[in-house]
Amino acid sequence: MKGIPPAALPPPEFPPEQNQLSRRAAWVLTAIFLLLLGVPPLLDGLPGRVREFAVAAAGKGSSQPVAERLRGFDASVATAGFTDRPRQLTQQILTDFLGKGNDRVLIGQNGWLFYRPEIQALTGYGPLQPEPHSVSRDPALLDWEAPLEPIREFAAQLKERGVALWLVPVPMKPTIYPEMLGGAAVAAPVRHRDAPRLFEQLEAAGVRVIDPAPMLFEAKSAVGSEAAAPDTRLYLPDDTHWSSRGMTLTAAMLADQVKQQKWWTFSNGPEWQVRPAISAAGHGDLVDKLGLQEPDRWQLPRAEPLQVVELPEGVASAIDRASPVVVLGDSFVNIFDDAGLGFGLPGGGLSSRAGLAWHLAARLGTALDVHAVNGEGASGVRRWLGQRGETVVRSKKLVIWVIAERDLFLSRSVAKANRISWDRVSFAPDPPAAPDQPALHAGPVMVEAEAVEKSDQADPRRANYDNALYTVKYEVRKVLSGPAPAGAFEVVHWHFKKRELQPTSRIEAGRTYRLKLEPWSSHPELQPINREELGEAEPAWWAESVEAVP
Amino acid sequence: MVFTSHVFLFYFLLLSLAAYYAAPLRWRHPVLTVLSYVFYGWWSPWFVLLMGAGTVVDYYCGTLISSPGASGRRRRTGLLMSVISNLLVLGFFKYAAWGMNTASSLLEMIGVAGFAPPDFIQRIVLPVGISFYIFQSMSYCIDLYRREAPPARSLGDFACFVSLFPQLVAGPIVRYGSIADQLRGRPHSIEAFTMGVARFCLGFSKKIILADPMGVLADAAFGAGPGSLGMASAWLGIVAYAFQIYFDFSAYSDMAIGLGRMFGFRFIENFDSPYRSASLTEFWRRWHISLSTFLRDYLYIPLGGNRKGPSRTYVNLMTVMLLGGLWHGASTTFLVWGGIHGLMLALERWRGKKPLYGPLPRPLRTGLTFGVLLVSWVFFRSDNFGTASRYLGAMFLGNDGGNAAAPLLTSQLAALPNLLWLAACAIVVWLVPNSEVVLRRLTVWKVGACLAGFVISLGLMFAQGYSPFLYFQF
Repeated sequence: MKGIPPAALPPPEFPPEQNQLSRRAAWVLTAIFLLLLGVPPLLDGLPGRVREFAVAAAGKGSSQPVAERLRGFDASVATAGFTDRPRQLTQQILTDFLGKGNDRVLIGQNGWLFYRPEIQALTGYGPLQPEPHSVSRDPALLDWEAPLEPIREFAAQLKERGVALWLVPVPMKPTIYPEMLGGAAVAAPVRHRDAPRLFEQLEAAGVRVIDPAPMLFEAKSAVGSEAAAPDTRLYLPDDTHWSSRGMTLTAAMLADQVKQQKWWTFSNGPEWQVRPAISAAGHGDLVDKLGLQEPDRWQLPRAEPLQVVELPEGVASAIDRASPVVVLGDSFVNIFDDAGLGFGLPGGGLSSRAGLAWHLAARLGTALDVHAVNGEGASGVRRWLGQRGETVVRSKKLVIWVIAERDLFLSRSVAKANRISWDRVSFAPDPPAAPDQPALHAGPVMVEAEAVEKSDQADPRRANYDNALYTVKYEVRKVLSGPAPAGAFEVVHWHFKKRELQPTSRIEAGRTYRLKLEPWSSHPELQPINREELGEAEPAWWAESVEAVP
Repeated sequence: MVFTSHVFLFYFLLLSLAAYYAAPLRWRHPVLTVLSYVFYGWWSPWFVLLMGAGTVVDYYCGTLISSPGASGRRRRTGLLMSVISNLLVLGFFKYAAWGMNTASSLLEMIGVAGFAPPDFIQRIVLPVGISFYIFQSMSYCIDLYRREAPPARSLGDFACFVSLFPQLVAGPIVRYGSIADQLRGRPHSIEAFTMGVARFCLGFSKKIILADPMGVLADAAFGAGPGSLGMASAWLGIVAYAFQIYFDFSAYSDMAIGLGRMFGFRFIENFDSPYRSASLTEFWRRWHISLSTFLRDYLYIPLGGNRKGPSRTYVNLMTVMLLGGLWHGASTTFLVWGGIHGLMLALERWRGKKPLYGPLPRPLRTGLTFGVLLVSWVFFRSDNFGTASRYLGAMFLGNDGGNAAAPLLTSQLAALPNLLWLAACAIVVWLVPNSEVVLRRLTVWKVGACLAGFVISLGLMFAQGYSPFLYFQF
């Protein structure tokens, strides 16, 4: 501060500018700038956007604070259609010429892709050493709870009801294949440094941790990553998930463990067969997340060898709600079963019958009580179990909880950004409360109803899954037919399919729609699909399509 | 609202320009004020009430101070009311939680346990940019008291000055005296508007092309848990952070200055290629110029500046830098950051005309200065003292990379595209003239290049996302 004069009294003097622009050039250049700003809103559908803003600002019927509604509006504008082409073109150039990924995807060796949050889960603070909090951080981060205590509490709740809990953390791709990300080859799985301690603490709390990582790493070492052919590799090169082989090896390991239980008496049923098949050709979810203009230039669509489970005669499904074994899980259970995750059978339906639960059921020779929801492995599936009532829960012997290991090891700011939360779960008394749950076989219900609140809607470009549902709360305006719900009710709709936004995703709060309602519980095939919720209670209704009432 | 958000770019900015230029001259300030309140209220409508109340209080205090024939006592009362009310607001929102936590820790150290700050204190949300607009608003009354600025013509003019959205949340800190003439009347021309467009586009490009990619690297390094930060990762992370904070903050200033020009205002420059400095003293003449000027005029000089002997000068320098550190945030790390700068300024002052780094050539002195800055940025970026110590250990001792996952972080940070980006940033930092110099002589090609940069940056923003400006948190 040496030599600085005292406070200056006169207004500051600005350096002279030498404007060498003609007036006409200035007008033209300014017009270009204004057009760059002005054309996108026109392409974006200005009237709809204005209406959306008015609803967000007024917040009629919404319980969200106005600031959150405005954040929702921000997010909606940020994913507007006019951004798609420039985004894809830019990413294509970055990837082609610089080998650069984006904020979700890292580019590894030989075309392998990695999910960035997995690196954060391996190298971040983790579950036992809390990430430091500072005044400049979002105070809401203080509310985020690390996984240890909620899992301990969940295990204790189950134990109280005579049910054992097994936790199966599915290793991250870089845990098994660090060399494909450019790291050196290693002699053991690459784990977060808290992993042994966390697993020990969970074991001490009565949770049996069945860790597939050593087995998978050994299986990889036997063939070597470079030589990993489609039928020997354990993870999909361009996807966040394991391969069919990695999954079936784990299913076999789990089945062996279950069969060793004293209470296990299901060995005499008909044998379940498995037949090889090839999935429809497609890209992994990481290619989608990369958002290239021409994904085929990055990697050609390819098929995955699957092992499809054939049901023995007399068995209707691999899911039996009365089974003493419950399988809870996320997309690592659903991959190769939920066709929406990208590896369905050619011409097949929503289920490919080649996922973890099917293989576990096949190896055990009996159907299981399975509930796996993509992206909901940490809390949603536990809540579902808790809501089933005392009698149901007490009839179980074992809960096998299969969850992406990264969810366990993300530090709180990254977990919050990735919408992972470790909620405490309450167990509902008997019978489960569902006062407005419609009868399963009720006829079609037609109503006109005003949308009053929408759940969050994930960005299809950034989601970990191809299909998503969301929830809208309505208030009945007019009953057209059937036993209509009274007052406010929640309806599940499609948000996106194959990452394509569906017409129902554009429902606007404040507008009235004509709906054909069906009971949500009558659509079990939709249950595994990612769903954004408004509250903890299960929605009552499903509507495939809606029609705006003028 | 963030300048780099879709809502701001494609809706708010165009709407603001249309509303401003469509309004009759005498309505332009009210229009600008309403737009600024919408801009600020986008974070939380409650923040607007806080800013509005502060504006009324300071305007009233200003009236007390500047009313014709006001007695000395009345003037002092007005000044005290303004200073106390502003510092109370700042203290509550910014320092209450830190103060109570620190008190709690100190009491625990002397054996008095059980004093825990209430939960609501921990959950206070810091209004965006509060340190900026509170300083601006308070400086009005101080300048009036010192008779260094004319009183505002009306509450509307004053509200427009306090809330002016182009520079509201991250500066440059504009003093009323420097803008009073412009509030009375300012020319609007297409040439000035185009200059504003070019400056805005340049700042936007700097933010998206340079600052945000550096932020990804810095976040990865500073987000590393214990055991995961190898020496190479630590150095790459801190250099990336140094580039990020400079490009991010100077980009905001460029955009603010550019937006100001679009509305007819001229704001002071805030940066002058600071990393080319060969000493910390020089650095503070080039970095966040509006803050260093503010601290000089309202703190350093009133404390006696360099007029009361060498020892007092050193104390004053240290005091100013410690308080400057605390201005950034309520944390020991900011205090240490300020302390490092205060110490270096005092040392350089003590050496007088003999430069601290001796007869070294300028590039080496610049390198050494940058090295000191890197160490200070570690404290600035870290969430607490423990993290900063661990980070410095990783940088200088390489003692934090024991985890098997550490090489993964290093391979991620040292990937070729990242090294190329770092090299590009270094070239811009040390070889390219600053924004004001580049655009001083405006040509069609320069504006065209700025617009091209804007288009490329939009594509990058769509593809890579964007992050809020770092200085919003202060």
